[in-house]
Amino acid sequence: MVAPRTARGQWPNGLTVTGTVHNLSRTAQKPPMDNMIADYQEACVYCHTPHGGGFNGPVWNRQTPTGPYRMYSSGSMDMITDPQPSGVSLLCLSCHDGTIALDGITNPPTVPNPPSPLGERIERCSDDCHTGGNPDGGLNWENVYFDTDLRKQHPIGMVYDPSRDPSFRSAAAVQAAGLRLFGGKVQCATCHAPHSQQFQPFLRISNTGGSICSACHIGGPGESTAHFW
Amino acid sequence: MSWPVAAAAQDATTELVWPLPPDAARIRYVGALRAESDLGKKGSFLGGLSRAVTGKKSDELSILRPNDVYAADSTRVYVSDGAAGVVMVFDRASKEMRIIGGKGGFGALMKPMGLGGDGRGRLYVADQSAHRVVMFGPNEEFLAAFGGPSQLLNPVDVAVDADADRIYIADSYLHQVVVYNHAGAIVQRLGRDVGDLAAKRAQARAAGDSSSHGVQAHYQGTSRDLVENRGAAPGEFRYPLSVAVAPDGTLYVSDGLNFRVQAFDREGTHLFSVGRLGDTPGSLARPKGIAVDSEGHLYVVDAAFNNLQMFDGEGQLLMSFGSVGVGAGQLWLPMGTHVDQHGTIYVADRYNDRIQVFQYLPVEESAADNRESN
Repeated sequence: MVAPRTARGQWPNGLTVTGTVHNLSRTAQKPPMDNMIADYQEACVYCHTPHGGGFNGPVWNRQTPTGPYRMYSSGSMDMITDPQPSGVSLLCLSCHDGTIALDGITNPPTVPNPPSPLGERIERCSDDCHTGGNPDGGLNWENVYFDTDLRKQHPIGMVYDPSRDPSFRSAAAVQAAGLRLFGGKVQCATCHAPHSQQFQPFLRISNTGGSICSACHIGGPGESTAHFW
Repeated sequence: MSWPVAAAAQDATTELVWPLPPDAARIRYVGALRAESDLGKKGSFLGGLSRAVTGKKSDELSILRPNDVYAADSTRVYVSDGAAGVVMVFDRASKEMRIIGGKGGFGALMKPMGLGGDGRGRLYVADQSAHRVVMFGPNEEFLAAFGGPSQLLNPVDVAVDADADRIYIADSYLHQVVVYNHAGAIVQRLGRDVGDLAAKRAQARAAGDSSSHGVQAHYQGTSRDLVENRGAAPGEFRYPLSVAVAPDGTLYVSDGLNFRVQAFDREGTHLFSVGRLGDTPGSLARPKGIAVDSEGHLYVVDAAFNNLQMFDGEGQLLMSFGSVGVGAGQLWLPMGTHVDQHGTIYVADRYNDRIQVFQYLPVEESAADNRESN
């Protein structure tokens, strides 16, 4: 869980977003960052789109004016909630598509957009949280663009409902371990803390010994039934 | 040629158009392309080819994860599929699909991103993982490739001005638009040019990253791009993501994290910029693919708004269309776009694994004025 901030931009684990690669206002890679912050004068706007921006009115629909565009919902910003698809993961994926940052999603050819056992449309994260059987849960950072090994994919976008599968801990236990759920759903930000590199890469808690995995999965990767659907 | 697909999605009485009435309709939803059956021919024989590419136990080739789309003429729609690692061809004349850039050839693709064409039958493919641009001819045969790891860091899109012999490549980690000629020589760079590409590649190798994509370096908290080349001034870029050439030779560049689209002339002189950060009409939050139609209108895909915004040649917002969702006329993290000479608009609807197709409807200005004044 994230404790209240002590100062603007200062996060309780002692590392600030300005000191990470998510500070996209940097124009040169030199600490400290403050004298290098350009134009927008802050690091936040690259993810947290500010409301407004003036009004360059559309010429062709003056009779049906449109207000601000509806965007993804976010657990951290008070923005308009969209129906399916929605979620803070859309914000992550809008950069993590290979053009700006690492491509976070690969559609495995054997299982394209399957309904999960929970019956929802989900996506799978190809950036490895698991290494396909390594009980230490070590990270494998090879880019996998075309992968058939489902153990390398972690689903997002589904409701976390342990009542459907006894190999999962309760939601309260998950959050007590330091992970977050968003409207009861697992999103990218369940495991990832976008503002801090205290636990690389941008993890909420340490993954030593697979402890991120164990926050939800009982028994570790090799024993959980969640991987074999 | 008609689009068989999506006929069930809309009946004759409820067209999807934008803007909504009483404004004159300017954009109409046409349909979607996802698989060979969307071309209208039954009994495809491409089952074996499909399994070879995708591993799917299906008798039909279909899009996995489209990054960009290009329509060479009325008959062929090319789809850059980053998950399948090939360019898929939807041939509307023969109602069949083909593959370009499959494994086992000089033109084999690793992770195709942006597509471009010269209007003379050649298709250009920006291959991100191979750090190069691959050129195919009118018969979809491999012609040549240029760039390479020593020149390109993250090529994500390509556009061609054939009359001026300029091939524009958007490199989002160099923060440049690198301009080649048809002989494969670099003739100009747009953007800052102070970063050291060779040093960045050496850094990635030293960090133990065999992909030379800087993945391990990123894991350790350093940036994968040439940070020194980032810039916010006119003519500088912060993650240029897409390029498009207007009929008059104007080059448009989607300048991602400067939240704007910049326009340049054929000599590379900055003309004007469009858009600014925000969530109101005319703002840009995640500008991705861009395209220009034959009347000079600029289309900008926004992956945060999940829509397209249209601007005129002076940067004035005309309208927007599309919204987030999985249904007809809706988009889910869209990326690339292209408008052909007939005003047909193709959008790579990335997370819906399909190409969404719209049609620009030229409206007589006098008729439109009459409606507005009523």
